Amino acid sequence: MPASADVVLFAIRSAIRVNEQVRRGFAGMVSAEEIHLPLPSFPSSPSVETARTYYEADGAQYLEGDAKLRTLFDRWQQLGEAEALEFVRCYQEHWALDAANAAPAGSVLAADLTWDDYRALLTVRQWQRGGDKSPSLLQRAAGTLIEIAVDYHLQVPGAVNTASPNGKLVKAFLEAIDEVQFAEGSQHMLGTRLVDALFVSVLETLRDHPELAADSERGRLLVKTVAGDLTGKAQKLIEAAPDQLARDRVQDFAATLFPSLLTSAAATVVADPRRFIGLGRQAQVDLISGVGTAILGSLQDRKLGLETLFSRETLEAAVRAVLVAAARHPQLLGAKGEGAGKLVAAVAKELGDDANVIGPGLLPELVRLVLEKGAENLDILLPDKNQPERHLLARALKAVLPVLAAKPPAGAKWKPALRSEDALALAEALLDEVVRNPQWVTDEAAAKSPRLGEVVGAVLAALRNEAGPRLRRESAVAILAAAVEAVGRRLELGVKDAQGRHVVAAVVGAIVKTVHGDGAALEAAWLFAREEALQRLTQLILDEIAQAGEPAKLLGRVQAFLDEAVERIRKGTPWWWDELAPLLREHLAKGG
Amino acid sequence: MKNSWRRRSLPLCAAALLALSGCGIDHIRTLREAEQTFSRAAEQENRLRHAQLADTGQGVSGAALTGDLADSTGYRVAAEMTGKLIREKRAELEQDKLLCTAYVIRAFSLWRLGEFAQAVETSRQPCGDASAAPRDRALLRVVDALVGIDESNARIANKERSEAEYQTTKTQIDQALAKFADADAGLARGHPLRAYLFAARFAALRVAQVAPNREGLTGTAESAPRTEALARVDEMLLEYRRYLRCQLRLTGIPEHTSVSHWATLFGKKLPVNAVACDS
Repeated sequence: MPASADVVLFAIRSAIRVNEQVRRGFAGMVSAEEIHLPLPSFPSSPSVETARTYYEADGAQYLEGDAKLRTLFDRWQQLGEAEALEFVRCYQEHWALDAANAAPAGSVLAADLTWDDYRALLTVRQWQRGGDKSPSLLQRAAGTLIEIAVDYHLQVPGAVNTASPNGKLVKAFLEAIDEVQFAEGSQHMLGTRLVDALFVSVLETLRDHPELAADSERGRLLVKTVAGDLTGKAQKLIEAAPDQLARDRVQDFAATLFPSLLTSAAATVVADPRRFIGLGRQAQVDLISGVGTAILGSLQDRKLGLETLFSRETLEAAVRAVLVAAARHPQLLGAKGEGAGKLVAAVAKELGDDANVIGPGLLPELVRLVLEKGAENLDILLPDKNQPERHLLARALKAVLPVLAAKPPAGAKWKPALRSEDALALAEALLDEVVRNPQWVTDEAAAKSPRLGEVVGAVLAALRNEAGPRLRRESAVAILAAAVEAVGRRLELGVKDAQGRHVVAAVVGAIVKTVHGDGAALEAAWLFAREEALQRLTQLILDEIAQAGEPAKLLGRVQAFLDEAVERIRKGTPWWWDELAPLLREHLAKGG
Repeated sequence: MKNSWRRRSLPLCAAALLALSGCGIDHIRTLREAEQTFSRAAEQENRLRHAQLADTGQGVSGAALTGDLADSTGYRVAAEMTGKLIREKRAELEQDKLLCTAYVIRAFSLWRLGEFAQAVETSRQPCGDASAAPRDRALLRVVDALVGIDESNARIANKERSEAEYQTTKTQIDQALAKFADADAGLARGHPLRAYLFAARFAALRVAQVAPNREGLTGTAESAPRTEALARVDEMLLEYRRYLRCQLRLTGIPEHTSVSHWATLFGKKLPVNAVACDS
């Protein structure tokens, strides 16, 4: 029993000791925190007294020869509101003129006092920066970090015990933050808000991906390097940012990117090491960190607005794809993934305009798709590493998106506009097809006139012209994907015939006309109007014509097959799906 | 045996730590919340003022002179939180060297709420070691000066226009400027609070610039004190530019936009030559 009493007393002593440390540290942080101070009330805009002062001294020359201004100046204490306003406006114009004349040739004129500058002057720390008591970034953030650690204590066992694997990673993170360097005289610095968010990311990643801490040394190296490099890059971007809005964007994006990097690292480097075979531990970590800083660096292209593009989920998927691509193709993206940011930005830029016409939320998904589908075969799909915008999958989608975004023509029978989810489903199928057969976008002819866009456009036009309003968008997407796949298997289907029609589009038109057209047999329309039946019929026909039949005669033979099938259904002759393929083959094999 | 002992002690330690950590730092958490609430309220007020900066009409008509708060909720919440905290946890705050910070938040909140007497009274309470919180100590020393500027500003906007009113304003402004200079002298030369104290002094001088006219003085009675105020503006502007360039190392050309902001507000030409720093 005495042992139990010892244990209890030890626990209490330890807790008190630790609690005292926590309390002291927290109090120090709160004392050091910045506060924003209000100014007293005062006449904060130029007034008649301002104008009078100016024209009495520095602006006296403007009174000469200007009778109206002279009158305003002389009567300044008796002016009505409108005259007073005029007097002040004259002053502001003359003051600005003086400032412009006094500025050395070629120099920039002083701008107005921005909210940013105003805010910075009125936000005050307890101690002078660089002084003995000047708090570091870690010290400034420590208050919240302690609170966060207490909140997560039960969810991440051992997080505050530096002997445990989790604790080692937490310590590595804190060390990285403590080492962030600030340039001499830098006026804008990383906020504690970012550090708080990064810390939460570390704890959540440890909670959700315990495998990260299992290899303690690699995990420690990963957390320390990625946190250090990312915050370092963020600080540089913050120093270069033109205003507070841009600085906030850097911090927000870094906060979203960091957990994506950690989880992607857990899902790729740790969980699937075969993809990173040949890379040592340090090289793996450098790659992850390099990809992260490269993507963060792409924020410098402010017009692109990458930070507003991605949700956490899409960014995570994109990061994972880029990591795999960079590991597999260092010759294209650099040994440390330096080209990753440019690739992501280039793909987003290439697709941005058309994707945004179709619908919000589509662009990040398309960027993710392009990066994911192309990761393994980047050497084929990215012929010139200096021109990431020429990623073949991005080019393929660029050819198709305008077709999908176009409004239905006047007189179209099938009018629904394709939405983001339709475009995404189709894009996925198309990219799979292009990965299987890059000839879609690589040959000379495709470069001049994008065949993929042409085929999709022609098939969509056939659907618009021949399908009835009952055709669902999901079926249309499935038919478009099947048509492209058929062309992928047999080029002639995508080539225009003597009448200027793409064979595959003409066949699709015939199918939907038979099912949805004005003269369609009721019984057949009833059967094939079921979505799965229409899709099955289309797939069957496209599969068969991809293998057999003289191109010039395909349309007539498919139509004959359709007529016979419909006749059987109309007459009530028993039939099975299995019989349709042989029947179609018979028609395709007919001579004449 | 040793391992078994450790296994049993760890949950106890964790439980005790969690139990203690909640109750031991509550007053610090509350103060932090109050501090953040106050900062948000101040930022909202300053943002509104900044939006009015370029609006000439406001200054001419005097509408901006009253400084009425659009929303004082944040200040009220911060004042109440710190009031309760000081009443109930004074000893803990003192032990953690946070009493001055609590007084600053309360005094400044009361000031912005227009409860001037209480604000000044709060600022005069002893709060311990002066070196522990240089910013807070300096701020507590200038609360009555800030109140003086507010009162003077309200006076120049009221309907009563007289020499006596002007004299009251002049006295208050002179006292405020002396207080600011005193607080400034107690700070390290590169301390960030100096930027705020400069801004407060410019605000006081701006009231001094317009007061003679707004109180109905004419001729030399109006121009002499205005000229005197402007001479102080010149000195202050030079000192401010030196602080920006030599202490904050804002060495860019053109100078920091706040320099041209204050120069425009007072009707002074933009300074051309860069200030020199002592070696």
